Amino acid sequence: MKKCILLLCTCLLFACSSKQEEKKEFTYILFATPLKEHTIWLEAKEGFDQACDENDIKCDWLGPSVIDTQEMEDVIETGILKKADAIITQGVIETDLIDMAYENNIPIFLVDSDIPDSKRFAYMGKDFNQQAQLLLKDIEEKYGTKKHLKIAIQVAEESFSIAKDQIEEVQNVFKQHEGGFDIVSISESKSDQIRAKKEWEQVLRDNDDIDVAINFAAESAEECATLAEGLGRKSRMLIYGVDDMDTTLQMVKDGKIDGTVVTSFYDYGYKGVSMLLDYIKNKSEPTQKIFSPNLMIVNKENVKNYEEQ
Amino acid sequence: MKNNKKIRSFKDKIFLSNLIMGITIVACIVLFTALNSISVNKYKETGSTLQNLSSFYKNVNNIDTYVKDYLYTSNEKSLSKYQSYIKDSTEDIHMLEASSTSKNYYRFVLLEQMLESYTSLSEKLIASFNEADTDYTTLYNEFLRAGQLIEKTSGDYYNLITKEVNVQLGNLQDIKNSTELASIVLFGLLLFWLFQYTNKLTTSITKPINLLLDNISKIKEGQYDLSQVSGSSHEMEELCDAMNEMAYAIQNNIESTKEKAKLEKQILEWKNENLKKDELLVQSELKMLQNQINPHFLFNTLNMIYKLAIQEGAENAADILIKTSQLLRYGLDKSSKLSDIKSEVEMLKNYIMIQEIRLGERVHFELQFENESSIGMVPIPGMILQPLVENAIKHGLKNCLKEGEVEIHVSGDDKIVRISVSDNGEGMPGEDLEQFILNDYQKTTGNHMGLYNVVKRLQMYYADNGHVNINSDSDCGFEIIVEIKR
Repeated sequence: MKKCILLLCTCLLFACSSKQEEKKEFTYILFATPLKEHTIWLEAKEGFDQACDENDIKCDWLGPSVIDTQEMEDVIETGILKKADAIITQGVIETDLIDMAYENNIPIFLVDSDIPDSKRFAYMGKDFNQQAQLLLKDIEEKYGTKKHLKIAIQVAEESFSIAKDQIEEVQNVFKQHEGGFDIVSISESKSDQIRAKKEWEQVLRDNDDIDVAINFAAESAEECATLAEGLGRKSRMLIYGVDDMDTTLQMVKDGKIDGTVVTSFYDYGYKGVSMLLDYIKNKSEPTQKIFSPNLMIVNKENVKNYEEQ
Repeated sequence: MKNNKKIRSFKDKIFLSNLIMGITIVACIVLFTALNSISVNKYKETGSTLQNLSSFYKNVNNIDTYVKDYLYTSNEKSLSKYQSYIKDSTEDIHMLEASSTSKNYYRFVLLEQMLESYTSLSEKLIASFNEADTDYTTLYNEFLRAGQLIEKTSGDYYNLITKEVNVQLGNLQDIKNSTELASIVLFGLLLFWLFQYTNKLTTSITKPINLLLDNISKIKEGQYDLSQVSGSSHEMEELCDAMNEMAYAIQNNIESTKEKAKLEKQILEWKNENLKKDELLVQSELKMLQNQINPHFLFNTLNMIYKLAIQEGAENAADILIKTSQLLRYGLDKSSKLSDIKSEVEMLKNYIMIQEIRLGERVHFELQFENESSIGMVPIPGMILQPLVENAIKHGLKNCLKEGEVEIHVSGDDKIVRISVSDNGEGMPGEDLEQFILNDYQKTTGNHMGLYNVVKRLQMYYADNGHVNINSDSDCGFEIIVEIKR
């Protein structure tokens, strides 16, 4: 009986002490996502969760359901107050917030969109120059180098630096095109499908001679292609999208979308956590601050191979 | 009846069953009480967790209020209140941590760290205010922002607690369901066990009793084997043993009684036979006494007559007298003594001679004595041959007026002596002869007493070595053959 009581006490003590030890020892990483329920960002969540499980750390996937920078910033600021060990987020937030985290010894890992001048820990995202090069190459394969291109672009939020950077790189790279080009329209989807459709409807009505439609918001390409087909304009224009949503890939297969520039959002979550954990454990900052995942354009020719991979 | 298996007493069985049932019921009560206690504690914990969370956010709000109050009024009481609420909110969060599940524990730690950040900011703000620092406005805004952000987390944490409550409620429901199921199963098992045990117990009592009753019926019918009866309890075992012993005792008693009755019957038969023998003996002795009346006087008289007959020249009468005297003397001497074949034959010759004179031509006697030298000295009770010849004359030839014949044939060798006396008289009817032999040569009327006497004396003397055969039928004469093994 005495032995049983002793064993019980030991177990209770052990249970209590293990809880106390957990308070000091657990690692907490916050992913402040711009869209917590968006298909593409959920790929990042998948990688994030996988890395957290593998490393047995505490993680939170928090953020707004629709584009809401303030909400994202609240999430990040709350994370700083909670003394999170690290934060992963998209570089669409205020630089001051990154600096605040830095002052509190919390590394901020930016993904998808960079804020180069901030005190961020590192950045992983598309190389927008490479993205523009891929688009130009595919366009020239179809139209040749002599045709003057009239381009319409739709982004999620034009004020975001990511959108600005993407448009800027298009302008820089497309200068190489011999036939020249004009960006006739830049619209915003606000990461909302209905908004995307409405914007494209307006752009296509206003611009009858658009040759290339480039969608830097993942949900926009589908709406653009549907409208162009409906208006009988598809044969006269090339439609490009980004990311590998199922609908986008299906429309590529059907020839309704001419190509989509894809990258691995999964790596944003998985590699982001891995790099941050390495820093937390070893306190060694990476020598390289910018990491680019592989980019490729998926078109009708390689879509099946891409899906199989 | 007994086997090697240890048999418990009925009392022990009842005690054991009550003990098992008692332990089971107590265990069930303890289990259900424990489960109920767990449920009540869980409900209490859930209620207290919600109360602690609510208290935490109220205290944080009070921190905000009293910091602002201090900043506006510089009242030390507000500062004291502020510190008190920091302490309270810290206690609240510690209680929340203690009551949380291991899965959500880190979330309360994060909230605690948020509180620490908030209090750190408030400390900095108060210090800045006291020192009239230029960063005061920035710190004030940061302080307000942190307060707002903590407040904003309330929704998430209330959701978390609600989820935990729901999980706890789910667990409680599971416990309740499990308890109900366990109760039903236990109750069912208990009922089943009770039924089985009662059935077994009842059978263990009634089966041997029924067997005993059956066997008691068999005892009544005279069967005493109770080996099939076995007791299932110590008491029943003893009862069966006692019953078995009683049955065997009864069986032995009855067998003894039968044996005793048989022996008594035999004794009675022997007594009866002895009585008959005594009667015969008395009759014989009486006859002997009658015949032995003053033999000396008779012999003296016969001698005197013999001398007179000689003196008067009556030689035939003298001869008859001497032979009669010899015959009487032999009869008196040997009737109860042992003689031999030769003496018997010699005595018979005297008797025949007298009877020839008496009967004349009515009866012719033929005596053949073969192998005299070999069988002459064979011992034989006295007065055997004479009664047989007398029987032939007296009964067989009693109505014969002429041509009556009596043949006496004595022969034998070194192994056997054969004596045959036959007559050609009226013989004995078959049924009379059969009755005569079955009645052991004795007729109730007392006839043939001499024959009976002879046969009995031969049987007594020779036992299995003597054998008597009689051949006779109505009008076919009578023959008696005596064979004596040597």
